[in-house]
Amino acid sequence: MRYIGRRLIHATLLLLGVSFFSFALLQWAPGDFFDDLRLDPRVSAQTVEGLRSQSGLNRSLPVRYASWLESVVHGDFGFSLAYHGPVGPLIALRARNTLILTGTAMLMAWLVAVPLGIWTAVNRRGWISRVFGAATSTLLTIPELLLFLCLLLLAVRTGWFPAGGMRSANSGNADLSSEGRDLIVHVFLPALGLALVSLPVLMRHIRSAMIDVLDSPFLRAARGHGVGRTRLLFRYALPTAANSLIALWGFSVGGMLSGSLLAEIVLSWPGLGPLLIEATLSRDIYVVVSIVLLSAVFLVFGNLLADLLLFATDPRIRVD
Amino acid sequence: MSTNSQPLLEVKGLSKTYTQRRAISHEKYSVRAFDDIDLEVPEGATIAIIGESGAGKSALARCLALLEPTDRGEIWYGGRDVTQPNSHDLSVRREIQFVFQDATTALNPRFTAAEIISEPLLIRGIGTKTDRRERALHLMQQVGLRPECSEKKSLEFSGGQRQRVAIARALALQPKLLILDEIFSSLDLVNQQVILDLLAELQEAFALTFVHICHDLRLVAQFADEVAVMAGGKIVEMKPASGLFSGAQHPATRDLLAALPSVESILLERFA
Amino acid sequence: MEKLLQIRNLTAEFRAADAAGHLAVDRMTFDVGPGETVGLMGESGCGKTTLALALLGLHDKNRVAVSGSAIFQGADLLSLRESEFRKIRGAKISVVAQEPRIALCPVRRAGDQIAEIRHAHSSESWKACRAEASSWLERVGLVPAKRFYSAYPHQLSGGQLQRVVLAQALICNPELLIADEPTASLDARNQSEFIVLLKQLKSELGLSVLLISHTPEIQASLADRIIVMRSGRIVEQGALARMFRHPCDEYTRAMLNPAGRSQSPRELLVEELAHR
Repeated sequence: MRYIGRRLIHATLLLLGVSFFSFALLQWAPGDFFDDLRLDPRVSAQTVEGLRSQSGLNRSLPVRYASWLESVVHGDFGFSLAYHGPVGPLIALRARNTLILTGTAMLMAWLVAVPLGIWTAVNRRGWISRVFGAATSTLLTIPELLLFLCLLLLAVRTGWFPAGGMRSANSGNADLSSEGRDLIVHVFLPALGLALVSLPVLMRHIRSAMIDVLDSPFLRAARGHGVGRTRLLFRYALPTAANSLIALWGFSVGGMLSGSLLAEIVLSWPGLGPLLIEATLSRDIYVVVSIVLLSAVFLVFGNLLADLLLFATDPRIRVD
Repeated sequence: MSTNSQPLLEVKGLSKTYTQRRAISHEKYSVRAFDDIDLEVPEGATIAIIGESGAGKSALARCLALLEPTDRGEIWYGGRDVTQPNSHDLSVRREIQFVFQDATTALNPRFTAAEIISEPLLIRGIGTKTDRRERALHLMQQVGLRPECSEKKSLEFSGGQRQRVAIARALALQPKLLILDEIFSSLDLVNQQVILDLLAELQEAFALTFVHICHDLRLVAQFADEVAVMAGGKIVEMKPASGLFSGAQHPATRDLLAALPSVESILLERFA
Repeated sequence: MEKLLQIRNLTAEFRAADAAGHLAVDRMTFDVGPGETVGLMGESGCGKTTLALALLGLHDKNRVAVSGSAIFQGADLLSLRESEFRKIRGAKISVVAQEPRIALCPVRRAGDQIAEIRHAHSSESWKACRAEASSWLERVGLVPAKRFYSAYPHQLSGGQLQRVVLAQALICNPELLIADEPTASLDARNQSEFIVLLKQLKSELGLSVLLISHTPEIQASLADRIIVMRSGRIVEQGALARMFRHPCDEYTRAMLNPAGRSQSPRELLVEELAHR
């Protein structure tokens, strides 16, 4: 329990640091939200100044940071200048969408990588293993942007999948099951893209974790006791390799809010990514900082999750 | 033996405690390796430190070789205080060398024997490549390895040969004091004798001083001048090797002796 | 008397990248009788472990070529297929190796790992295997059995781990136990305790043992016959007392009792290097 307490304190300090740092960076970057207005000759400088002081942008950095923190506590996360509303609900919705996407992608990637990784580890000398090795290397070298564009092209040319977006135009009042189907059809391509991006690295991790275990002396010793291949794999090798894999999964959870930026932009998925870009370009400062903070929260959470899972599954750490 | 009245290595009140953190809670807990050790090693002598596993012998050996810092106490080498890590100038480190227990893991499996032996010279920037190679071959000859083996990787040698490579490496920088940690434990009898004979030769040729960690009392009786018995992190008895099997003994010493009956007594018991 | 294991001209050659292979075991011929303990002695690298692995088909066929014959219960071990070997390993012939710490799975409980062996070889239920494992924990002196059953390997000492491995090896009541330097990583006290345990168990079970150890005291305590190996070949073999007291070969004398030999060990090794 003391341990969790200490981790929470560290996490809070980290998050405060991250948010302040990004706040400060944005502040020091030249210009602010109303700069475009200033360029417009019809709008007078006084009006701009008035708008600025109305939004509180003329206050000093520490003051603005403190008042933003206060609003975080209240759940508002500041005020969006572009959307004229509190940031909280705005990013909550977008975050949910992003999580749907990355969650699906993670499921797809792991469902394929785990069996394949294990299989290519067990049969590492066969030609099939080498084919897969070549395939994953190729996949690794394809730029993400190209991949997503190809998927977009696929969607447009074949019409099997919608070319972006999260919902069809005529959804809304339809029943749950057809809404669900609609969602699946829309999420498939971007999730596939994300899964393909992470698949090579994931498969290699799994494969090498398995190979490490398969080469270890205790497995040979068990074989020397007459334990058969299937039993060796499922009752000796997998439980041992699971440790590093579970930690890896915990870290992937940490990246769930930050990894899908490109996919969301290219395939028009209404997640945090496009919002972040938009807000950064228009210097909608509270939106940007809040998104950064949320991502950092997820990262910290992912680390903590990985540690706790390791604690739960690896007896060597647990029983001291 | 030694004509110099001052001991080569002197240790007073040496103590070391390992502080570790538990894995998740990061709570500190300490394990005392050894406590209040006094030891004098005369120049040219062969000292053996014996004791059960867990008595702190290996930790003490590493501290004597200045590989790890100690918490309390003093270490004097050649009349100089070398307790603090910063006070070691390179010459002291050169003169005290360590030979590990398991030659298999102490030698880089990717290096050839010649590379392993000349590595200390390379690190110190001594000599040219040719010089180093020559010295490596010379050392191999001294430990009884044929020069044709110089390009073999360590795993291609037998256990005894590997230990000889390790000893050759320890001699590369012309040390004066060798700390040897259980170097006999993985060797069969023949190789044990070979290494023993080799060490005796080297000791005479280069005026070396040895401190052995060893748990085999029969071996210790053969090579040691003096024996220090460790139990529970302390030295409980220190006497000349000749007096090891006789005379008043600390219970720990008696335990060690009792654990290993001789072959003759075993045979007698079985076939009486 | 019918021999349990008859080894004839067993040869194991390590294939090297270049044409010349390395003969790790060179035409070894010896027998092991029922209930007999045969001690195999030799320096490291002389082929003892290679021999043991060859008997159980544990070598990688691409790297090691094994020839000769090893007749065990009417079948030649060296001609068995992998599926047949699996029935023999752990059930009829078991192995205990040197380093117990790396011989056990780190994330499974000790007792489960013992039960697993039984479960792999019999059609008994898991529950029955667990009970058998618990009783074996008691037999090897790890009491209270419950505590040791649920312990993980990293919680046990070297001596305790070696007993767990021994229980694994014996739980299916094999006829032959191959012990490859079983006490080499143990300290003196654990070593003597292990010897006592092994002695007791082998007489209780009528077990034959092929004891590989370079320590004379261990062989003297357990073996009935001694075989001295060098560079893959047998130098000398004979009854225990005779080998210790009246060895014929100089190498034997040096291996068993270095004091009172005529040739220096250095000369012996030089000879041996010339053999290779």
